[in-house]
Amino acid sequence: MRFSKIGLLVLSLAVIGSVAFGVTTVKFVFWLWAPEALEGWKKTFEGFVAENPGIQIDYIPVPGATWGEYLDKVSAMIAGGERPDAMWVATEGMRFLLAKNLIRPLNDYIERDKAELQEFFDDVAPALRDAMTFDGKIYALPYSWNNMVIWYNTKMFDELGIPYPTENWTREDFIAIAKKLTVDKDNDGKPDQYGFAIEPAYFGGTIPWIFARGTSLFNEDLTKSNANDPRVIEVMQFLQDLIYKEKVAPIPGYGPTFELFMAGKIGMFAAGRWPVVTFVQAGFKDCDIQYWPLWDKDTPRLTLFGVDGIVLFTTSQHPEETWKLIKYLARKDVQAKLVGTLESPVSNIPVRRSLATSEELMGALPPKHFKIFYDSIEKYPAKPVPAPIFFTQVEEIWLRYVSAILANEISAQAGCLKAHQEFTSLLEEH
Amino acid sequence: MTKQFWKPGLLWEILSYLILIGGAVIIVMPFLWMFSTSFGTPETAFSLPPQWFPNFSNIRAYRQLIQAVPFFKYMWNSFKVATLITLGQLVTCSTAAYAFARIRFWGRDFLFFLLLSTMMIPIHVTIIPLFIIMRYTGLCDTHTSLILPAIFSAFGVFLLRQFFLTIPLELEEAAKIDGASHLWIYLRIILPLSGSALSTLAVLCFVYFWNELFRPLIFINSIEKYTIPLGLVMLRGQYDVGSVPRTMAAVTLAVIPAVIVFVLAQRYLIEGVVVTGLKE
Amino acid sequence: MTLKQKENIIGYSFVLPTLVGFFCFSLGPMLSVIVLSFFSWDLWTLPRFVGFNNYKALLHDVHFLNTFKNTLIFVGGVVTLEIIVGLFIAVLIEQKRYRFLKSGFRTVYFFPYVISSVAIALVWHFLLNPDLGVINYYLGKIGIPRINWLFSSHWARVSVIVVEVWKNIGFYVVVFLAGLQNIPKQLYEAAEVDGANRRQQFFHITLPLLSPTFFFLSVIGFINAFQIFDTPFVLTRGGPGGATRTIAVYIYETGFRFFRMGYAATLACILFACIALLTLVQFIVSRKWVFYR
Repeated sequence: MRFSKIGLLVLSLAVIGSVAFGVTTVKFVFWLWAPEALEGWKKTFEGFVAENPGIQIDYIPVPGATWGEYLDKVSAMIAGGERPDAMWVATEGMRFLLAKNLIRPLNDYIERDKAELQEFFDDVAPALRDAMTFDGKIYALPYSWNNMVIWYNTKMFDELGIPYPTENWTREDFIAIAKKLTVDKDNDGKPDQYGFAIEPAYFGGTIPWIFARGTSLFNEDLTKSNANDPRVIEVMQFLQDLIYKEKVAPIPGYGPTFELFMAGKIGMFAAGRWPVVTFVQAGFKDCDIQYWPLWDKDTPRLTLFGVDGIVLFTTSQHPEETWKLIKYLARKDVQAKLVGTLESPVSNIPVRRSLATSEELMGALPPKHFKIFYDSIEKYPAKPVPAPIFFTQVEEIWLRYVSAILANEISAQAGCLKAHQEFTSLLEEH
Repeated sequence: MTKQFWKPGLLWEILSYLILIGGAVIIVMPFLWMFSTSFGTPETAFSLPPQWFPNFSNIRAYRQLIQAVPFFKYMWNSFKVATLITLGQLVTCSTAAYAFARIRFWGRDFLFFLLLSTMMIPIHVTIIPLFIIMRYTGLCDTHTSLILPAIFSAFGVFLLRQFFLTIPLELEEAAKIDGASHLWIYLRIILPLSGSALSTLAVLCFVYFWNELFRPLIFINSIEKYTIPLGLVMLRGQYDVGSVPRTMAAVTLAVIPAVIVFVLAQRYLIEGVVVTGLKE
Repeated sequence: MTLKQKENIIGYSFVLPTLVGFFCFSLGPMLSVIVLSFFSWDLWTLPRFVGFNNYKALLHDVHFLNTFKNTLIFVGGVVTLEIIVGLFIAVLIEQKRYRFLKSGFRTVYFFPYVISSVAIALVWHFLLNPDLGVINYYLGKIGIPRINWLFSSHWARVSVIVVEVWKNIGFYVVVFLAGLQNIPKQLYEAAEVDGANRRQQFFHITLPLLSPTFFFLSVIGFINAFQIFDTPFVLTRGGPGGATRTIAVYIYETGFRFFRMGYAATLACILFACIALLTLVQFIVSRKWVFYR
């Protein structure tokens, strides 16, 4: 009897206490692209809670192999009734959320806190901010981003006496280098190391080549498919030839690219900044990056990038507190952790120029020419990943044909035309 | 009559042993590779010929795995879900099986046939309405969503009914003369005699739900609530990230409980399979 | 209350939990899936009645036709191999003289059956790697050229069939063994006296007396093969190019990745119809060839 009375008292005190002291909980969903990333996020949340007593963060990490998979899972969660306050999402997902009226513009909050945020916007490349804007309204503060560059194994280059690629190298230079890197050491007819590994598992493997050729998969406002463009077909043919004609690339499925790169079995591969995590953990330093090769001397460079940010849900019960979290994640000292350290490397590029070009922070980690990351978006025109509303389905269709083309089961032309057909009927449906 | 040395029988004997042993090697080989690779490094994971003998001193992959992912939590979740479902099935299936075997009630045979026909309904068919039910009752992302629908099993009812039918009627009739109710007969006569059938159902049920992927894949979103199969799928990660030894370490850990159950309960598993196969 | 009424009440109370579960989680959903297949619903907006449109769309859906083809290939390949290889192995084991050998082999072959398909597919994913996997390495040593296991449509399907059969073979071996052991030895002895040789004995005694076992295994085998999900999902993710996508995988993608619930329900109805039809046909045909003692 005594116990239950005391218990009741304690309980009611706790309830009153939390209501009186206003402990609000902000539910935040984010992509756990690799288990290692969790620690970094936890520390960030602890920092926020320390500065903002009265706000707790209920964080929900969601694993997934790509942004697309992450978005799938979150859609499933939301379909299952989950209503977060904020979510870390990339451009690919924002249109989808927007179409379902799940996220709200941040313009009024930004106006109100203009003074505080001015230095943030000054420190961020306009292209990154514009990617978060739809119909003139901005839906997220950019948080981090990534582009696609070519990573090369400096040790392999040195061993074979190949000069490192330069900024304006062309497709032909690229093929020549890849050929030199492809070596059959034991003469069994099978190369023991390849020049370049094509990545068919996500958009970033093929789109930069299409951009380099001066075109895109869709038209400007993403309402019509452009997959039947002869230039797109030319690009896919080029990729298919890399495997079967020039024989400088293994058939996709060769194995885990990063590990093979470190083991000296692949000379070059394409990625954003995320391989840094794997390389630092393995203590691998013999690598550097270079811009994506130009298609030819006449076609200007167009950088492909994907940027992500934190969006605020329309259903949020605590928009003020959530906005505080969003601002917190944009702060310089918090963003500085995005650079990563040797002990806890991070996979994305910070949106702040001051951080992404800092010799002190970025220079502590590979690659040596980290400036290329931010330069690619300021020195050259840049475009975000073409992501119509139903990005998941688009990605599925494109990747299906890419893998068929790269497995040599369908010609580049037939593949692109069929993809075009499917894109078109998908667009018509919506 | 002199027997020649190379009887067709002898040739056949040797050949059949070779085939059986060859088959056994094919069965065992993947597990061996999995086990030794989990003690390897990312570089040696793909070395050919493979290193068949595990290098027990290198447990880096296991350490990485445990730091990165709450794998023991997954094991606990799987254990919790499988156990609760099994207990639930033991109760609901045995009571229903007793009724179908020994109680004459209106519509019994029709109902039994209807129940049996639901064994043909795949989970992939009912999953959509199930998801909608779970969504609107707020049970998405809970273990309850996995446990509740699964504590009923037509297969369990079928298996136990077949067994109950073989229990001699005299025992029950004697009890009925003494005025025993159905409940008493069920608790005091049928259940005690059904140890092996109940164990068989329990083992089959446990193994099935321990290994289930489909429903957890759809219902469970939070990492702390993952079951092992779901955890393994998520571990695959991006094509390149997620090193091979770490994945193999996870698979090894996932397989060990099944091995334990197999060794201890092999008899029940095989019996269960046999009994269902020999229904006349 | 009469005795009969009392029996009825008691009977139903024993059956009640299962009955409730049956209505809520089997019959109810089954009926709602049928109803849902006439709607279009993306979970965000309200369901829209579309009549038979989903079914009409099925016929024009290239993915569906492909998926259906894949499923049929898997069903045919997997069940056939499971039964033939299972019987073969069971016969070989049964002939062994020593009991410990028999149960030893039986144990080994049964082992993969209790392991999660996810675990198995993950391991085979690496074993079947065309350039770096163990399988191609040893095949290469006996002169077989590199097979593009998981990345060509044809071989990816073969991979799925191989992995499924590898996993399930133990079940078939165990059931066949039990069936073989049930055949009285006197029949064989009598036949031998009558001058029948091994082959004749096999075809005229063993097979007919195994027919109930065959029947059971084929019914179960087909029902399970239509539902293949884990292996293609983990081994090849339904690829390459959708070559290993089965109906179960397609239902998952349609409903839970693209959120087209109505269409997914339509697919589910088709799946169930196939299973029900095939099972019914097997039951009817069984009267002709299944021999009960």
